[in-house]
Amino acid sequence: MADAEPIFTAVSSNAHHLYTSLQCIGFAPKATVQITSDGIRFSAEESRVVQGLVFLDKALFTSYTFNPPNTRNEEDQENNSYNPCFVVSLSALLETLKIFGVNDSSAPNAPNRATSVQPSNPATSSAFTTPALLLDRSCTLQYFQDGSPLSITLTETGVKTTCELTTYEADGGEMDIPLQRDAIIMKIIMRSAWLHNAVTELGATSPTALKISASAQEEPFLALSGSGGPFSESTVEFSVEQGSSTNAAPQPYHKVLADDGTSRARAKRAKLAPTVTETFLVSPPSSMGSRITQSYRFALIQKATRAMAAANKVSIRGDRQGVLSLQFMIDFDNGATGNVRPGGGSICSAVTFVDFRFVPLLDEEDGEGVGNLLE
Amino acid sequence: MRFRSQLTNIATFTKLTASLSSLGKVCWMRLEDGVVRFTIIPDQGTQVWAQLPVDAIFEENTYFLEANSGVVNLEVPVGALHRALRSAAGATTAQIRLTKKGNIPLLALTVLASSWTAGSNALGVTDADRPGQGPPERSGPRERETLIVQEIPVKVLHESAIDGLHEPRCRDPDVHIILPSLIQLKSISERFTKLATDATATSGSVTGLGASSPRLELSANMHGSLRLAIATDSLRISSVWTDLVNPPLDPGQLSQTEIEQLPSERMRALSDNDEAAWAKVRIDGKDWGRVLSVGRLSPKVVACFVHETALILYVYLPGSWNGEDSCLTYYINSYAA
Amino acid sequence: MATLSFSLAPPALLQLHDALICLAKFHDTVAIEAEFDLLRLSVLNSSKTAYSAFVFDADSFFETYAFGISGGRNARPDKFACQLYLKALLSVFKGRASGRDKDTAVERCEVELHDETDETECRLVIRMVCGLGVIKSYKLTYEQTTVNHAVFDRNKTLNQWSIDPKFIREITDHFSPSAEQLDVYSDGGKAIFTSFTTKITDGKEVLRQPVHTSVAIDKRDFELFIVEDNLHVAIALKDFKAIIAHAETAGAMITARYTRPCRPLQLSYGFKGVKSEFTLMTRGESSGDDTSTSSHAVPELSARQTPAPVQFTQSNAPSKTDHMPPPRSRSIRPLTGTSTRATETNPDSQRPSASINFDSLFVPADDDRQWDVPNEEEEEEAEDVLGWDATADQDTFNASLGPRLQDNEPRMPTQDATSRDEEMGIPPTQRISQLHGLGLFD
Repeated sequence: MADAEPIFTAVSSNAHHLYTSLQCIGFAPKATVQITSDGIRFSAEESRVVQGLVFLDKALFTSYTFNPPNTRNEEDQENNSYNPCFVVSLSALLETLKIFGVNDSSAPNAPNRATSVQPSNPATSSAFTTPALLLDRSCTLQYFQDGSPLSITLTETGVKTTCELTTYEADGGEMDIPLQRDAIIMKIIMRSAWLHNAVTELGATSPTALKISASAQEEPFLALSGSGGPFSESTVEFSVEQGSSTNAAPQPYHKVLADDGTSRARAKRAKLAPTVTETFLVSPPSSMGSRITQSYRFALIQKATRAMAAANKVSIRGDRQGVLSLQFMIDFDNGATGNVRPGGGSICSAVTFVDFRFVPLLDEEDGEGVGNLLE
Repeated sequence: MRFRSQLTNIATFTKLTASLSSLGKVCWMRLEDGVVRFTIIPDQGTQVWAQLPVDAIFEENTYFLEANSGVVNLEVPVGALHRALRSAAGATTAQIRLTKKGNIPLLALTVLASSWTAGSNALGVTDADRPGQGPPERSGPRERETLIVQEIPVKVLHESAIDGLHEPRCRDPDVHIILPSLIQLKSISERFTKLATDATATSGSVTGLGASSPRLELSANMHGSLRLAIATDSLRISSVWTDLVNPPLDPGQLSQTEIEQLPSERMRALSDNDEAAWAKVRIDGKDWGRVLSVGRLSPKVVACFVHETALILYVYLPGSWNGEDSCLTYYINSYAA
Repeated sequence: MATLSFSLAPPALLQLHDALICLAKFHDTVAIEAEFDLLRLSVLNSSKTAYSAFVFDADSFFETYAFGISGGRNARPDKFACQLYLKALLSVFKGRASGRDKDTAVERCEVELHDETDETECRLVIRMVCGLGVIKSYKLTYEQTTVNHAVFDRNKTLNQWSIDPKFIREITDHFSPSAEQLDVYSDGGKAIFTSFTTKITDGKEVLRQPVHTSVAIDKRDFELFIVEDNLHVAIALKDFKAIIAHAETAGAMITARYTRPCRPLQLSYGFKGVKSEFTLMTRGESSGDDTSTSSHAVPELSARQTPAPVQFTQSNAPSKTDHMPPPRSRSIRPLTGTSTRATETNPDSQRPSASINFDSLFVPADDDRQWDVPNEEEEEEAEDVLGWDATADQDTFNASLGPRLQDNEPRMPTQDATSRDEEMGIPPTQRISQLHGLGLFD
């Protein structure tokens, strides 16, 4: 068996990237793994109402070999009909990846904390950014043949750790929550930190429901509110950044504003979109009026908190049915700055996308009934 | 019965008590002429027998001991002793003495600490609330002294009460090896323990032992390898260290023929590919983590494996006081498979 | 109906957060009182042995501050009081933002009270205006309430010391975390702080007893030290640590004032438009004339109450001096038990002294009644009688009933009339206890 070539071998010099990506969907104990010639797909879900998906592109690995047993012939490689698919313990996989680098004295407690809802920014807290530490280290993922365990080998100076994760048959019931790509009515792109901050903020008051409200015509352009908490309702509004005090007045005096902060006043008229958004497209169907409002179970949204914390950017999309997609981009190269625009010709080799989808709460007239629905 | 002494190497004493307190609440402290012993015998788990020359922690010329038998045996709440010793960090002087308050015998730790005040107007605030007329006299930096007295209740044990306590005895080990970096070993061990705990928690297949923590399988051979492993339903994981040292035994204590007949020499003769070359023990994951907390003393640790029976750790503190080695011996029983 | 609105700059926001953190160490609800020139946050702990208050000056602490009130159901026309859960407030007023959110840090905080007569729920609306156009807003439910202030006459205190809280924190760092009490006394040139625990342990558990720690520092470390030598007073260490921790954050010199054991001790300090006061009951060996207090029982603090819809039971006969309060080894009592206890104990003990029957946080301070002055004239004064006076001597107490006490509580006009007329005139809009999801904060 050992002399036979494994179906799949991928080597990474940086297990931390794998860990950072995979912990984003660490809300579920198990994950479905699918190996393709382009990369590995990990998906986790809960009760068919929330789904998280991580795609580790083969570019993330220093070497990536996929030899499907049936597709040795060249003509078959086009089909990619054979993609091994199985279920492993995600918590065990994450815990194993954490062993990589335990000897880094810089963060002896970090692995324990990382299991909390708010992991620190990987790019800033990690000792992995020091190139010298990466020498003599590797992390190898291997899958020998159908039914084999998924094996992870971590090699560091003086010690080699091998973990064989039992693979379970995928039950076939894995179904993606359908996002109607041809019926997207909202697409908002902004720094993930703003979303993370807002959700953390709302989470402090323990709401049961999160309401997203967006309009391209009137303020607030984008508002997230939490309701159902024991004694507090909270809202985070993303509006247009204004000059110092005018915002506070119930009726802003536009003339005054124009006098002391001309450019900002113009900006407000020009752009009917929150300051923090890069892209703000809201086009509700006529039945909704000018504003899109949709509610989700807050506890479900919170499952994406780790992804929000780890990612640089998020694309928030909603379709006509109310299905919400949060697509996160984790840029390991620019993680620390977060200001670098991607795609600008830089070598974006270390980028991972994490996709979350949520089923909406049934809405009864503007969220009034949300609390009841949750009971 | 009297005992008092100035402390020296307070940091070592503090770390020692911290390591001991992770294994047991109560420690038996035996003060003799020239030697201090600390023993932890918990109901369950690892026993520690530590022996230090007096000057490892006490200033020898102030070490004063007076007892009929020449020995003072105390039962000490070692966690409290550790906390008290933390007050002595950065002390000018620290003295410990056996005393009494009412009927309760105490170890009184008296610490004199000094620091410098920051000088005039340290706070940089004006306090309108302050009573009295005008600002109080502010002076330049001055030395300020703090006297701290920590009273740790102890029990004085009669010699007869400790007659029954004996250091465990074991047959000659099959493998002896110097452990790798304890912090790395500890981190990996803890992660393994967590993996196994999570696995039992999620699969719900709790074994009859209930709250007991997972058993780690620790093995080593005479070819410089150490292996830590654990297996659950959902995974099998092992870490292997190589190129470790199997320390030579002291030829002064054993004759050449005696050495040749040791089980460890028979193990050395076996090939490192042979599973029989590995001596194996099964230990409690959480207890093992507590044992490894001795790493804070950055010692050299020789692990002696008695196959399927016990693991004995000889923990040598760094530095040597007066040429005499300070050694802590940890006795860890192996669980049956 | 009251109107209240104020706004805070980021530094004040941080100070408010620090104050809330400190208050949360005493109890789970905070009373907020708005007056024309100040806002007061106060907490009385459940055993009524510690009263903590932060007073924020309207002009110097806030960026803007506006308070208005109009008659109707308000007992006091110059004041509005309500109570909130500290956890709710703390979920809104957080500490310093982490580095990642720098761009959207809070720039200004606006608070507005919605005291709607016709609404079932009253709301405190808080808006955090942040950078990049991010606005966070909260609506917190509050409950109208009456507020009690511990009475403490600073002019009567015999002992006083002031010190940089850092020095005190260095002292408390040496104490065992399980120690419960702190004893303070002076001896010669030294001030000695000793931690101890009154827990009784049998012989077997000797080794589990907490370590007694005493720390002596030079009197010269104090800014001011006027204390009777060898006078021991003891307070709860937990309370003391909470106060010291805040004083150190605030960077303010802390002052302690007290007379003797079993009388309250007040710790106070002020900084940047904020005044903090903590009145703690002390224990210790009381002096000879203090027959009624045992060293094991922690007497409760006495209350001064803000006008409230209460009924006073007037029965101010001279007190029995030989009455011993039931000793309590633990001072923790559930808050919910207090009102029943008040009604039960009063008839049972048939204690002929002033007592108040009302449904509020406060229980009459039974341990202290022996010093109360019989007073059948005015309820307004009867209220003062309940107040604890630092001297505890009848004659000086009589003297103190004058203007000095009035300083604490400037005026209480028409108070009894209002409360009589309307009886339970201020029904809380909604009891916090009725809100669902309360279990979260248990």
